[in-house]
Amino acid sequence: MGLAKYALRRVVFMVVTMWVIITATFFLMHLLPGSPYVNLQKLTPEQLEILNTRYGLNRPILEQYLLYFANLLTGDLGTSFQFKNQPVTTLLAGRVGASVQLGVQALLVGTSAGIVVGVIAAVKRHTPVDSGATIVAVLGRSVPSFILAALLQLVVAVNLRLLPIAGWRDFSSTILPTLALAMAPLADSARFVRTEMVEVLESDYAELARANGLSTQQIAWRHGVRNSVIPLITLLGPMTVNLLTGSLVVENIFAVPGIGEQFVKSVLNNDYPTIMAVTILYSGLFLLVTFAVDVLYSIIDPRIRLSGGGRR
Amino acid sequence: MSATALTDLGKPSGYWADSWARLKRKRAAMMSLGVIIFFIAVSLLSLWFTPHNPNAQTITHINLPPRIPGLGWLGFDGVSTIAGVTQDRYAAAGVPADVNYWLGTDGLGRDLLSRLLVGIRVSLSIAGLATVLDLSVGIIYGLVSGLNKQRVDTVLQRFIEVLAGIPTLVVLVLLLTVLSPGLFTIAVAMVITGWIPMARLVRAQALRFRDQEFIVAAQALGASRTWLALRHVLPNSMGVIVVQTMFSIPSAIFFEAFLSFIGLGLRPPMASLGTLLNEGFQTFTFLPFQMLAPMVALSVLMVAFNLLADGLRDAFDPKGVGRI
Amino acid sequence: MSGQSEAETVLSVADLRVDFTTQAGVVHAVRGISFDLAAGEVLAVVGESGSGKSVSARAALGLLPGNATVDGSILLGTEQLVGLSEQRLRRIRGNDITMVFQDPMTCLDPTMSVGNQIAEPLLLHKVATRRDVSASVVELLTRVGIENPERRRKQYPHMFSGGQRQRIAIAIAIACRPRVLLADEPTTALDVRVQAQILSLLGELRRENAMAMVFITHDLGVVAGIADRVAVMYAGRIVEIGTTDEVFYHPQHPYTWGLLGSLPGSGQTAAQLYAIPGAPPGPYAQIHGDAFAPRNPYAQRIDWEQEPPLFPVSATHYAATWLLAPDAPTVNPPPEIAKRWRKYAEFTPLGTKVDVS
Repeated sequence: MGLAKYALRRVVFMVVTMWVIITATFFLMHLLPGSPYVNLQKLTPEQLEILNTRYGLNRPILEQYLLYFANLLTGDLGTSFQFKNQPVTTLLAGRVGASVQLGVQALLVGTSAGIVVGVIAAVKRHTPVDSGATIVAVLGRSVPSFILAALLQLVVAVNLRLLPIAGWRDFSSTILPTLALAMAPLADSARFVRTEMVEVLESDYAELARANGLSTQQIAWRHGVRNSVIPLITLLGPMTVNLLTGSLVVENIFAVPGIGEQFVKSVLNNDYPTIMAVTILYSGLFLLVTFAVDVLYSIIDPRIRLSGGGRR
Repeated sequence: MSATALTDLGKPSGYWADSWARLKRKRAAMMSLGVIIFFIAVSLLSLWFTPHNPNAQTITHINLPPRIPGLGWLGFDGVSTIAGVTQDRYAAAGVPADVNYWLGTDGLGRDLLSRLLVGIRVSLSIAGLATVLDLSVGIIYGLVSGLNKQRVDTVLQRFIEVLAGIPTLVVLVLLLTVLSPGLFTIAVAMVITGWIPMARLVRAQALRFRDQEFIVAAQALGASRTWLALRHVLPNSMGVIVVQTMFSIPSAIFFEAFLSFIGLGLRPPMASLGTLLNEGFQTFTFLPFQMLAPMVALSVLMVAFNLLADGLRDAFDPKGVGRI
Repeated sequence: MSGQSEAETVLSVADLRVDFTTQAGVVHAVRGISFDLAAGEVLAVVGESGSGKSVSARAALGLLPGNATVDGSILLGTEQLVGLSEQRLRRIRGNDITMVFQDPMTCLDPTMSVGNQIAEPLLLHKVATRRDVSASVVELLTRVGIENPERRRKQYPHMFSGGQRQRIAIAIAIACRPRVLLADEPTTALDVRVQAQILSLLGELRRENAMAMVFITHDLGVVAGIADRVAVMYAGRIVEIGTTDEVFYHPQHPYTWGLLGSLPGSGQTAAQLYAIPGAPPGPYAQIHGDAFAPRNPYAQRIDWEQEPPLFPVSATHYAATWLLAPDAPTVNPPPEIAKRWRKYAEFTPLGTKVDVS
């Protein structure tokens, strides 16, 4: 069927988009007015010359561009200006783990809690429980994660001394940043699941199930969850983007040694190679997630799926 | 949505009146509207009046906790406990009894309430500017794409598809590293990707209306495409456009705060919700009041805009046809 | 049971009333209906949409929305269903009484294999255990005429045609061998050929399991083949009830005349079809006298003043029309109906009762 053709088309767009991003990033970075060197005044012209040669900054810009592209294809993202001689790839590789762990934890906690909240709100529609869930959803969607992070830090870590203030050592130090980041996916999925679930509970098949003795709860968990969680996959794309955005500040607030924290540092220090690398990384991740979500969705949803077969 | 718009074509005022009546029944949305109007009013007022000069640094009055006459019993008494010492900071700093800082002062002795009022105005201005730009670019692009020949439409849509693949965050960070951050540059940076949803929406509306009888009739009478766009498609899409706008304002407010908070947006001494949060965060663990006020202001604004947007969507689109 | 003439009553509805409280006012959806259903019997309930037929069925299952108030009595065997606790109702639903709905395209969960959906009531009511449930599912699928049940039970609803989905819905409904099946327009959404297949399947199942059935439809045409008795509903009331022969060949109510007259294929040209003028009263209409009076060409003054009771025509046949009142004027039914009456008189030479003054 059309899935392969569709996927191919999407891949072409991804490649084009990536090229646009890389190119735009590259030229923007080289138009930067700021200097990459922290202590520019102290450098002698000779030293500057040496550094420029080492980083290839004195070659024609087009040549630098082609060179960058060629290196990129081999996985070489250049050398960080910030940490002498450290390749960007190594710099980021050491930080991916924390970011991925934080992101995955937040996504898992957020969506699973969101599903539960959404289901309960739908089953208890138009009761105080539902209103409570709505308030949580509105707050989670409206209050930025960095505000939540700061509040959690103040209340839980500083005042109550229940959890570490910052750092990334054991599991307990991951709890607060995870919670801060989990609120947005929680709110989004709760809201989404509630809407879908209400539709399911009013559907004809819910009525058939009811006519055969299932309770509203049973219908919600047996029929509702499958029907509302499958389309929830489509939210993964926007959720990932929000997580990336949130991770920049939340990692900073909690001093998590992740990509986001590095990105902010690099931006404030005009560390072009690292900025470019993270830009490419984030864009690539975003494109991959959106693509994966679309393909995954058409595979998982039996309504779209063409081949048969049970799942249990 | 379109169905409602179409049946009410003869009397568009009825459509707006109906939507308004539906909106009025939503308590949360109406309260949010009130909150937003209040915020806009005080921020406008801050052009002419602030309790203190928001930029005046009074070295002797630094880090004073909030004091509001008459509300001392609520904790706004100018007394704070730092390192186990409870003290009336105003007395200690020798502040005259008739000088009150309702939200306290910052580390440079500036009045935080005045700065907050200015900050709200700056944040709202950026959001407003970004939204107006989003609107203009998005509507024009959407109309051009939707009402043009197939080939033009295809090219324009391909462009959107590529642009939509770039995360907003990346665009913002890149542009603000290059451009010197200011009110206008931040707004422009947000527009780079911000106009896309509006363009898609307006194009969908244009496509939907293009084959409707009244459009065909107008065409038969020799109406130009611009005329069609301005006279027919646009007025009939106002509902969805308003709703979409309402969703993009809080997102712009958020991004300004976000950028300024990580140090990429506005820089002190300029006040905005983001810079106030940034400054407040430096001392948050021991002088929480400095950050709490902008926190509350930002959260309340975000909640209000989101609730109003929800309410408007329900009001303009009662059957939920236009939902995603 | 099927052999007995006086089978036990499985469902007894008495003076059932259903009101809905809405923002716009109170809707009297069902205004006092009564009927008995014997084991293995099929009662067809015929009426236009809004006549209260579906609402009555849902009332029996306790499936009405929260703004509904149900009055009167619905006895399932000896159990009073009106006012029964939700918990107890859940045990009865699917087990003793169940329902099949109109739209087979939407009545199955699109994300669950049909086998699992059929298994659901079996496991719920502990008719089967997890281990032997798939055997029961295969058996049920076979019973409702799905080929290759072993393979097809693992498939999802979108891989079945409308008719097959309705068969699956029926399989779900009969899984626990309920005594009463309420079928709410089960064939309306299907094309004619499939309609006939589903009707004959329902007929077979009812005979095999001695399952009583209330067959709700707006189409008198599909009734003849399956129903033992017919009840005609109008504006929340039963206006005529009798055996299928009685209602078809000796109808007394002008509304029934209209329904029969508008049946196609009765040998009449379109121009001769007796159509009922006007429309039924809206949900919020204030009804004075007989709800049908405004559309009744035979209406007399009393029709506008007082609601007619159900007058007996025979021991099994009742109609709520003032035409049956002792002092009513004699009217001539439309020619198409008169023809039916003549046929009826041939079949029942004694011409029993017929005290149509």
